[in-house]
Amino acid sequence: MKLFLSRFTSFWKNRYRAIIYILTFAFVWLALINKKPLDLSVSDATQGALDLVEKMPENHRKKIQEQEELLAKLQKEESVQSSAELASQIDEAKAYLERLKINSNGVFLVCIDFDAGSDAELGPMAYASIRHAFSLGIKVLINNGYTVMAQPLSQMIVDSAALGGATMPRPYGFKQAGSDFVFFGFRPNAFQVYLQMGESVLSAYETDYSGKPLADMPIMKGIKDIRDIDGIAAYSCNVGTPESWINVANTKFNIPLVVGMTAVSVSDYFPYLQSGQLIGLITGLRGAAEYETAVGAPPVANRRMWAQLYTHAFAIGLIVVGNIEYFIKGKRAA
Amino acid sequence: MGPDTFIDLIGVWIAALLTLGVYSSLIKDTFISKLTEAVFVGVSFGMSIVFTYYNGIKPKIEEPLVRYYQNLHVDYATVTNAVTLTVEKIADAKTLSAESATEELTDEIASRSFDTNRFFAVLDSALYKQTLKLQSTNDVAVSLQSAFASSEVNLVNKATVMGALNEYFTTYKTVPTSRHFWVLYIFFSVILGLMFITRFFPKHAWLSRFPMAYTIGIGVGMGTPLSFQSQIMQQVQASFIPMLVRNPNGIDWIATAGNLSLVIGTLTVLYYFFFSFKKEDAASRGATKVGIAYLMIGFGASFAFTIMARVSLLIGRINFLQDEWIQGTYEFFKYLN
Repeated sequence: MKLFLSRFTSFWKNRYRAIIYILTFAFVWLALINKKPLDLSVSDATQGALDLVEKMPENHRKKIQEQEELLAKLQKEESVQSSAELASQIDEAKAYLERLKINSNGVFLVCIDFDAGSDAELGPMAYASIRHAFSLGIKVLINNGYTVMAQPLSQMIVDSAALGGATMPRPYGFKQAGSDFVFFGFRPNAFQVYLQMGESVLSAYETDYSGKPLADMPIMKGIKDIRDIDGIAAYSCNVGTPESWINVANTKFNIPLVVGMTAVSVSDYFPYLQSGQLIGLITGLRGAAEYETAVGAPPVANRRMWAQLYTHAFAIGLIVVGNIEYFIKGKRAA
Repeated sequence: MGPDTFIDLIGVWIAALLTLGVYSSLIKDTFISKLTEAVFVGVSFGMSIVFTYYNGIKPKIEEPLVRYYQNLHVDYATVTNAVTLTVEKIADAKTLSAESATEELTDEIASRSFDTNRFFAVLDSALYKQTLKLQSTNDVAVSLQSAFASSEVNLVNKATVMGALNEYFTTYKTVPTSRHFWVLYIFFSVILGLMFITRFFPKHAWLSRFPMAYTIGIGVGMGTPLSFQSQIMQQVQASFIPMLVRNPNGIDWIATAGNLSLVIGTLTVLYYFFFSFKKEDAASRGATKVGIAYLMIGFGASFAFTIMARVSLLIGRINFLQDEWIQGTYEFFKYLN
């Protein structure tokens, strides 16, 4: 027995890293074989992100109604006393109302600001939210932030959500580029681009990612500047980059904003959620799994949650073993 | 999700082998793991340069400058002929539609007067579009048609329209004066950008300070007011919360405890980082300890999130290996047979 123990100890000391790696791989692999979705409750932070999209058509209709009322009020004022300033206000209100009516279910901007390194966590949430918007008839704009390599990845996510394959059924049918969605692509200096979108989306992005002029696209007839966008979701792998959206979208233009982050960076953004600057926060793979479960999207992240569960249980087990070993060693040393 | 074509299959295999190559560094650093690292860095940088060129330099500098040069040297008569023909066609179409319209509508159309200024503004918006290539008569026609379609200019009276068009041509230039200044601005930007490259030449490296100062100045100038508002003012405002939260049934103890904990945490952590005097008394030491406890809880949560994130990445790769590489390859050959 003693010989066995001493051999086991020396074997463990030499190869414990390899054993832990192999066991982790095995846990993940075994968990991924389980195709049954995990039953998850939706957290308040994810619920905020869901509500942004879910209530967008209703909020957009309210916006149209408010604009109609404002126009009627201005026209009434003009009938009493007309002025050049009032006339220009009426023209502006009319143009805005027309734009609102073009994309009648609302416009949702999805900023994909991550590369392949974070695709495992952020890809499913971006995919699920685009699908969610499509299923409600919302027009979707997609752009990239600071990450250059986000463009090829975004292209895949957008194509998959709009056109998809047989394994990803879409209850909303095929979506047409230029009419139902537009992918702007990457532009250098994201913060300046976001600010420029406040002046004119067409001056920030003259063409889409493939070089087609945006001005000719039907979806863009209803979008002049960032105020024509009903909500923004920024999915980012970099700490510090969603702040640009918080500064521009929320602080400057008061547009509802949702952020989706990798779990490693998400703790920095809870204060913004608590202060109401963000109306939703999707936290890593768990948040993505909650989102796709709630909207009934194909369970990409949810399937991975079993693996998360097993590896977390394994990690907790290792921490417990490590602590026991520490206390035993500590006693021996004493 | 597996490969559909043979090229896809090759791509999936390369990705799978590179994934395994990266993970081989867990055993020890080998030639394969070093190679995969080098491939990753090389591909990322190479693609970044290409994307930056295609999304930044090409649409913002190269194409507008080429268009500017071409529009400057386009044959003036060809452009004016194309414009005349298109406007004539649009006016003819408007006249035809007015003739076929109901009597009530015809009266309404006739009552609208022709606004020359608005007509000129529509022509300007169509012909001075930055993306317009004047040498392409088709592009000119499309631009005019789309501009007039969305405008409310009354084009029913063809003679008036053509008269106004001739008047417009008396001042029309293929490139407006403002565009020349815009080209100067582009050249200024390009020169400023190129100054960054002087860092490679120690003798002239000082020149790179100009674009650096410009970039930092613009960034700070635009970012500071917004950052101050969103990251300081609104965050401070959010920490002013009621210590006692009431609901219709009385006191909401859970919300009260949460708010109390937030206030205590904010104050004690701030106090911990306050190094202007020694914290030797019991109250100070106690507050500091509470602050440390809050920090530890925060770091613990961050660490747990970090593990979750790293495991998610591993899961993503193994998912790829399982679904796209092994299962995808099996299904690809099964389908072939």
